[in-house]
Amino acid sequence: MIVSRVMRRWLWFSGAVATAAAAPFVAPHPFLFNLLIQAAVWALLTASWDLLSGYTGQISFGHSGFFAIGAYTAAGLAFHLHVSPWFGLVAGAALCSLVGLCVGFPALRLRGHYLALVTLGFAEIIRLVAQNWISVTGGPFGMHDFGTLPGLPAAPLAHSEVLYLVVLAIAAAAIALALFVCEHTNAGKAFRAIREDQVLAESHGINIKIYKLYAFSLSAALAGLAGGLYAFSIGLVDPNLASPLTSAMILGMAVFGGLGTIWGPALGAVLLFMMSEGLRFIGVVYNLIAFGAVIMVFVIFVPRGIAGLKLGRRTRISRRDATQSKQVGAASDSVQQREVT
Amino acid sequence: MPAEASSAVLAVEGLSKRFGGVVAVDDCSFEIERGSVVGIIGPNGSGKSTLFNLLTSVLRPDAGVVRYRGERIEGLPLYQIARQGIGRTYQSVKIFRDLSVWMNLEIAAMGRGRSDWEVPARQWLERFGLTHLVNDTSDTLSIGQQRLLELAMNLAMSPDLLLLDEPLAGVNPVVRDTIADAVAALRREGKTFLIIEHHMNFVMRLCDKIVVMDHGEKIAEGVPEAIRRDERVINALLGKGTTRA
Repeated sequence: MIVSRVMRRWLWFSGAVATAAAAPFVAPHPFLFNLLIQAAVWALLTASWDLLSGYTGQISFGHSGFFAIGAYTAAGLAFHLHVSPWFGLVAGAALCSLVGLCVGFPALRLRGHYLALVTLGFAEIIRLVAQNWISVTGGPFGMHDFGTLPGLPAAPLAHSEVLYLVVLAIAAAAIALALFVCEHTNAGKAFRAIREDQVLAESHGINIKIYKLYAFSLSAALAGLAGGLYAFSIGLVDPNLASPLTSAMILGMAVFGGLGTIWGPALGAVLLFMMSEGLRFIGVVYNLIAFGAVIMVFVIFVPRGIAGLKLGRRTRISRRDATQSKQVGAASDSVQQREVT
Repeated sequence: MPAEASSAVLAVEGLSKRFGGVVAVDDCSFEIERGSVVGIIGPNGSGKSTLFNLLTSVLRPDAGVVRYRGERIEGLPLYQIARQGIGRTYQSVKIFRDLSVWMNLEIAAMGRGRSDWEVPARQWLERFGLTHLVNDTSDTLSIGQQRLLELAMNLAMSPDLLLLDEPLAGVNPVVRDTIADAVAALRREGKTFLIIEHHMNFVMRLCDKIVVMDHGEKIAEGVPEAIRRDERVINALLGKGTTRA
């Protein structure tokens, strides 16, 4: 039964990716493909945040910083050193992984709001560096003309189509990696144990320091990869990538999708991004108001997000099964009730 | 005395802990023989749970030595102490509440690097009447069932020494008997226990030795019959005044 549930999860995931790959070809248009490319990048970025904050409970406001480092590294290597964009993507993710380890060290001592503040400060440092290191980053105006991924067709529509499929494939593979680590490895169990109760996790032999650093490092690497994909698909990187607004949007998308599930935040990011872009016709301020309103409604009425709607149903079923049981555990409950009354 | 010459699984020597001006544990020493059940009793606030936290490195002692199988373990990280074969439960039930019953057991096994845990885990779930709840979220269990799950998470990993902090607190008589039976059976199998408990029938029936604490000090140590007649113990537990020097 457990195997079939795992299989079902991966079938759903594969089906969703296949649908996402095929659906836009029904009405192909460069604008649509550009939107979907950004949605895929946001999905990966939000899933990377969920790995750290949703699974291990280490609240990060610094993912915009990792996102920017990945984007600037990929773009900078291509622009200044004329390095292959493929290498730039990998280098951006690797550098973020290293920086994530360094940022993760305070997490060994800090929790909750204090950790969030440290990571917020980290992202702000990245933004200020990007804004002021003009010779490398291009300063407030950012970097452009650093090219895109190699081997793409020149015609606008074909270019967008292939770029979309490449970005989707990389993002989906990275999200699948995050999902695999969190759901099918010992690290995933340790992440959840740390989120639930750090002292208890240690009481059962889990080295929480190692796993916290692992989560920080892997999550930062995936955020950096998202940054690299963003750079080569949009063609512009600027200091605003590292702004608190980016981190806030990640958090909102993750809550909307359902924390601690990976696929939920990825789906939430796609839906919220598309909704926000789809409402641009009512004004660039009003669409953000709608974005915020949706998050507020979900936080209040659906705190477990889209993924929680499914999980909630399963919980109710299992509770009903438990009440129907005649075994010792249930019998002991009735004894307890008699004692109380 | 060389540690190797002692048959003690756990030896505590001069353990002390202060919180500001409050002496929570004061120069506490005792030993636990292999295969024995040792009870720790005392009034609320006498330092029993702090002692557990010192033994398992949840807290760092200000002074003293803790030897487990002859090796010093005070100050080791909590996870290393668990991996050496010391399990513990907490006064307030500690389980991974948002996770399923089975996932709780999986995590307990993973942390200790156990691969042979599934059969004993299923046996303990069966014994505790939790088999039908394996896929349920732990938070949906009753307090008694949560206490049993916490115990199963430790017992399934076959620890050499198990520290139980008020295992009967807040549970009904059925669960209480289940826990007492489990401890008695494991005692016959040669497992070693250190148990904090306020239920005197349980302590007197199961324990080979009892350590009594009051105001952070060990005021008595001995077999149950001797403890039952000890004037200082009676005064400390019944509140007839202090007999401390």
